[in-house]
Amino acid sequence: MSVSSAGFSRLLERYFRLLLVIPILALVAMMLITVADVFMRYVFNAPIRGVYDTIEISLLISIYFALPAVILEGHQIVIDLIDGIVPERLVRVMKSVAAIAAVVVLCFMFWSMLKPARNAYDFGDIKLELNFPVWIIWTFALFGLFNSIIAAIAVLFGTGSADGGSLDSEGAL
Amino acid sequence: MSASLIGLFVVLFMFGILFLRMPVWIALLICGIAGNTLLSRLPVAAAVTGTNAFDTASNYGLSVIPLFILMGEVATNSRLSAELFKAARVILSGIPGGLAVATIGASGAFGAVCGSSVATAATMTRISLPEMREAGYDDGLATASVAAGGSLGILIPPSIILVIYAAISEQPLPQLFAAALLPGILLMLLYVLVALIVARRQKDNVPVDPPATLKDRLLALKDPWQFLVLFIATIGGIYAGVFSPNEAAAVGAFGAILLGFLGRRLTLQGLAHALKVTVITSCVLFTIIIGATIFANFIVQTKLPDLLLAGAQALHLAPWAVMALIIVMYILMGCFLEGIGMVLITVPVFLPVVMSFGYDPIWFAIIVVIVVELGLIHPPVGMNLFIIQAQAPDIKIKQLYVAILPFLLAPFALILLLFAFPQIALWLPMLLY
Amino acid sequence: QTTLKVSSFLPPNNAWQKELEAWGEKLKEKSKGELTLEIFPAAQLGPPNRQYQLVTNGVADIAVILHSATPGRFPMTELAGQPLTFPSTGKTSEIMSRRLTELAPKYLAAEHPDTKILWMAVTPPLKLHTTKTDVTTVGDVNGLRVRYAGKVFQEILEAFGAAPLPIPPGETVDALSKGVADGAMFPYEATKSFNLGSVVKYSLEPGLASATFALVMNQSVFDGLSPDDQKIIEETTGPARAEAFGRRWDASEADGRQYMVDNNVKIETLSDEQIAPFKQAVEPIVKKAVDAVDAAGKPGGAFIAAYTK
Ligand code: NA
Ligand code: NA
Repeated sequence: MSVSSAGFSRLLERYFRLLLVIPILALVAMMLITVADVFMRYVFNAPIRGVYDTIEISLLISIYFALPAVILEGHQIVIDLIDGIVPERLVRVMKSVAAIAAVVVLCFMFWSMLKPARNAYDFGDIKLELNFPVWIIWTFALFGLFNSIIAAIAVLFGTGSADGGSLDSEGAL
Repeated sequence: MSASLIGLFVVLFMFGILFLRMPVWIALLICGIAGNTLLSRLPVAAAVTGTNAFDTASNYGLSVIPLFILMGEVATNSRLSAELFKAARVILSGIPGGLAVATIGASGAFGAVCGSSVATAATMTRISLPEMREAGYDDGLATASVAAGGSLGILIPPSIILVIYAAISEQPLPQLFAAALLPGILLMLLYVLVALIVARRQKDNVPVDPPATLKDRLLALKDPWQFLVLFIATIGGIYAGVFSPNEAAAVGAFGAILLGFLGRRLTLQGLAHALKVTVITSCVLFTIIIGATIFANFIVQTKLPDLLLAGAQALHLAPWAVMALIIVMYILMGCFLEGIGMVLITVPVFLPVVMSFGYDPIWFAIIVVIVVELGLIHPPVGMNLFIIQAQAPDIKIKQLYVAILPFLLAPFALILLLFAFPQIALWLPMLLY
Repeated sequence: QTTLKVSSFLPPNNAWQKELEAWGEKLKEKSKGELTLEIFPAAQLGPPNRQYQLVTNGVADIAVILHSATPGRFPMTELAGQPLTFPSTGKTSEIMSRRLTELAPKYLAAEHPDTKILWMAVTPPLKLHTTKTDVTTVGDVNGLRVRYAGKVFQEILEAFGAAPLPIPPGETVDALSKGVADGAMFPYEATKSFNLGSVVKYSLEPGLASATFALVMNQSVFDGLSPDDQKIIEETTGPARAEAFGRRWDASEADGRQYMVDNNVKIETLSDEQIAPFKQAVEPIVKKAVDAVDAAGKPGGAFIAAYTK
């Protein structure tokens, strides 16, 4: 790997780490708005309007904006029973196959989401309580997926941690 | 080629690529997409994929998952779980196998604020495995008690598996949580029994802590009070009808953070770490749920499970025999599959049949959780075993496989008990609702 | 031989399932086994808000759609679900379902592109059921916490000064018994299937608004059928089928009402005079919805006039 590509991969990692702030904020928002709703309901008999919608939107953001980091840092669950049994080289080949499959599957997901996103725009779908246009939520998902594709390509070319069984203490499922 | 045959081939193919180290969610997606394409056309497969990938990720009912994970993570980061184990250790000192029992007890208590078995196992591995090894415990008993204790995380409410079961079966989640409480405590006691028997048989490899005084034991009881507060505020709040499960999860996570800061156990760094782990963990879970939803959409259309069940019905089996057959199928699947995927694929198919034989859907939910738990700890694919092995790489997986065997008896015993006395599951929800 | 895939998000014991099975039998009989239905109930193929797309994407050939599940997508059809907006000839499901099916080709087909509407169905109007308050005036509803589902019901409750709570149907009885909610909006049929009889003390008649459904079929799948098969489908669907299906619903509504009576629920039947203030309170909601459709260049006013005639 050349110096510049190493620099690029560091930049990429930093970018995805920064991106991770967004799902964390979405998670905090989910928690706080629910707590606030419970509070308002019991104390003032006035539930907050649009809690359901806010939570659904935040949940989607928290998932799709975390996905690039999950892929880059190799947190996916893998059944690595055969690792001790087959030669190391074969394991490396299988890791590459999995990395290619990840790119292909993510691209397919991206493509498959274009049409329903388009439909949501054309038909003017809105969220029940907030009157929030649904197509905007689709663009959040597409943005997250687009970044995930970049992450998967980076993994394919050796950046990131690919997958390492990856059930370390940090990815504590 | 008939749809059922396509289904069979795709399922076999999936097992194949899973063993060849394909990440679980990608394997599920590949097979779901390929299967739908074979059954219909590529645009149909794309329509199923695109809408499910969006809808699952924005499903209000599933928002409990990250929130309950957050509550558990904050509890870990504010060292609440470590304190729990310490207290259990003092209380059980002097008993042969006391540390193993303390591990199982602390896991059960931790399971009362954490919805995931794998998270419970991961937490307890970090806390109690080093202690047991330092005390000179046999590696087998040490790891097996963490694995078994960890599996309590999904039976003792809250439970992510029950959240998903509720979503697909349209059963009320509060009742499901209520139904799981007694079986969860019972299973914990059964695990304790197994641990005590194993400890007695391996006397030489199981050192005994010097017994603490009665006063120390009683004093130790007061340390983990925060757990009691969290459990009563969240799960108690659900039983009492104060909160919906979603609200309980949010209030619980918020309360854990508050308790952590008030007791000066939680630092901002600790909170940031807990948030990050929660976000990553829930994302990993959701990728699997999305994959499994798309795969399940395909399996439903193949009518493959219907075929299996039609076969069972054609044999004119008694209801209990059909149930036994279903449980055997779950156990076989548990050898290869991961829990959430298993629930998503099987419940829509099995539940109508189970109900047509007169069984209660809430009772069946508890059976499903227990067999999923069994799947987490039984070889070859047992997620809890992998978690432990990942954190203690010097322990051989083969050693784990052997050591876990006596613990597998406990869930089996519980299943038999539930058949004999369904009230174990149904009494509490009946009382409360 | 043709097998049509039918998707429904409703559980297998729902009236829709029974009607679809009956229709399937009829198709099979008339086509001598050539035309059969394969029904996927309980949202096996997709959630309520995706049912229409399942048909246009070719995942299913036919689907039951609930218009209010996708707010914004069927603005004209949803006018039929506006509060206290019923045909002058009666507000039974039988009458409303037939009326809406008759009006569908002229007014609603454009909102259901790429599909053929087989029939429309309008539920018996949803009633307000309360645990503590005997509601006879708008003021009585003020401050109550009421379970609802769907945008229109949220707007109605807010217009009356109530706090709408989105509680899943299965959890309503618990929420009512524990005082988390003071009331719920359901048809009688649902109060029976969700066991509300023991906790509800009062029910308010008339019902306030209905939900609308449609059974739609992929247009190109229909066009691809043999002329004989097409004719059989035409003959077994349409206004007559809608009317018969509406009767099925009305029967279970009557059954559900009897269940409430048997449970000593006090049914308050308001006179036209008493209901007038309620109507007044919701009028702005109806007007806003109709105006929005008109503003989009569609004949919303004309449709509602034809529907309520
Ligand atoms: Na738990
Ligand atoms: Na297993």
